[in-house]
Amino acid sequence: MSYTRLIISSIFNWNTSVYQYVGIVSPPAGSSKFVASLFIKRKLFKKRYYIQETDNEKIVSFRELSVNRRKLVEPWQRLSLVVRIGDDAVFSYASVIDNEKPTLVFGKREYIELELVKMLDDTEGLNDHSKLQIAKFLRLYKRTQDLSNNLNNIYRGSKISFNAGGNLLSEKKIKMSEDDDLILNGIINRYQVLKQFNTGIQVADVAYLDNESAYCMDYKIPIDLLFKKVIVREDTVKRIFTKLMNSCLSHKSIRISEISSKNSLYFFLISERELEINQFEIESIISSVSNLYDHYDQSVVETGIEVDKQLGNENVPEVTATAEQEEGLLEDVTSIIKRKEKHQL
Amino acid sequence: MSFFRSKSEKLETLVDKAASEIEGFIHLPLCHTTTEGSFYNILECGQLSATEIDPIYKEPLIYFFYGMASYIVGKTPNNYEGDPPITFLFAIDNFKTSQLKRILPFDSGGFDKYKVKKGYTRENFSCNSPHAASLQGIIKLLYGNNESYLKTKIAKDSILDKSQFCWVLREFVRIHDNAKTNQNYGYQAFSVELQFVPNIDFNPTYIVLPYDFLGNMRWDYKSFCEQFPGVTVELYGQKEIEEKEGNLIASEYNMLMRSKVEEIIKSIIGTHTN
Repeated sequence: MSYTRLIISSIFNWNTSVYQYVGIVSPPAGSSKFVASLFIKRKLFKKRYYIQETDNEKIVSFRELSVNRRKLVEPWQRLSLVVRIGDDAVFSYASVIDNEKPTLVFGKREYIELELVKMLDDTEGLNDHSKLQIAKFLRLYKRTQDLSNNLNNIYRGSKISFNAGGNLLSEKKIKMSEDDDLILNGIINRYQVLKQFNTGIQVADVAYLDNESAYCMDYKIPIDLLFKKVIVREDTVKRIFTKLMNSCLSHKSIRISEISSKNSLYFFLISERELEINQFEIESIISSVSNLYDHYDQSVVETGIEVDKQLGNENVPEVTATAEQEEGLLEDVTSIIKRKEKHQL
Repeated sequence: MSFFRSKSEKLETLVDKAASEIEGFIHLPLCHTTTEGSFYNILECGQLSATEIDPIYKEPLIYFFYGMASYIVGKTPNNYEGDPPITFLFAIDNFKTSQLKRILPFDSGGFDKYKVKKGYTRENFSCNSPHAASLQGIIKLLYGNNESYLKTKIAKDSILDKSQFCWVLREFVRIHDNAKTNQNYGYQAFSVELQFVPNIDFNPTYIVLPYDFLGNMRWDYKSFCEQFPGVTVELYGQKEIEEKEGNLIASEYNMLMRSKVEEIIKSIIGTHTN
């Protein structure tokens, strides 16, 4: 649909008119928000103002409108930002502290993202709601969830609620991918870039895990695939995912009981020493998993001790990326369980 | 000797008669629409006041629409103001009747564009000595009931029947018919207008805010609740404002606000009928 619309728009605008960014209409005092980017058509004698109409962050048309020129705020950088139909959308964000002149940041996503991420930890000019809008725009998962929770506390008992986290994951434009490198490199690159501009950015901000998938920007990938193929391959990756898992576990984004049904996650858990997971939680996982094999009736405490030994034993085989190796480890754990069972008999 | 077959009655007289015929009328809220700057002034002084002398009536007035948020913020539908509308819903019981100045069956400000026949003035359509029951009278006379009013469906047959006693009613039907086919008239042409003498205590039952209003540093929900307990805060355009990332024009904000108010008013009617 979007491509059809784009093609039709392009045909009718075959002369590829060039539109120049000219700023915004100032929002009211005290406001901080996304505002409409205004453009003028180049080479027109009379100054007419336009806003862009977008589909999936691409400009599909321009709509003429009237503006109050007294309220116009021009960009302080006299850059000539010009766009055509089919180009990436230009975003504008304005914040007006009291009656001062608005602070305007604008640009295409890759530029404005870096400007906005800097503003996220500003104490002046932005309240939690403004920060939430920015966090959602940047698709910062954990930050969005935290801010939504804060706001839900503030507005508790009212008819206002913020269900921001869920929306980020259910957006139509998120595509399922089997390309684990794409997702993983996306997570790592994005984390490193955003961190340079705001040290408060966490791994859990740029990626999100739930019971089924891992998410980053426009993509999601089945979680089993990600863990099975990638997670244990590199130390950097491992470190990042350990942080992510810790964050998800502490926020209950992944229910412990669900992990037990996913072998890849299970092996990640028992092989990852940095993971801050409580003893009783890992016992519970082991217990659930052990129930999958041979109706094992060993107490969870005993299983936990066994796993601790395994984790402490330097000779424990490395958990590797391949399915064969993973199966090998599975056999190892199962054999421990069976040995214990035989011993008891 | 009279030149007329019969003497025409004033609209106000028929409104009073209609008012006396109904019992148990449920009043819809009165809607007042403003913008952010004015809203903060209202919060500061706890009252709605008139910022200027009304250019038509040459006196300070505060305007409300009955059961509809029809006031349009912005000069033209296709403009970008960057200052979206905020609407208050007041229960009629919260007003002092002595402050009610006039009631008209449409927006008096749009009168000049209604293509009314020459000779008719706003005065012909006004209830100039309104009282508590006038509102129910005007709804009964022109629409039959609240539900038809909200659907902008006039009681045409009944009105034309009565127009032999009150000629102005025939002209009202004409305005209404024109409004149905002329988009320039807007919703104001179908909305009963109430004019009040300032100042009015700020004690609405609902305030309806644009979603992006919450990003204003001056807004503090907890303080608001302490200062104005009992006021329900509702938001409009949560999904649309987020999706469009600022690219909403004035008419779109107005439409979203009006829909939210409509939803609230329907829920109020539902509560009363259940």
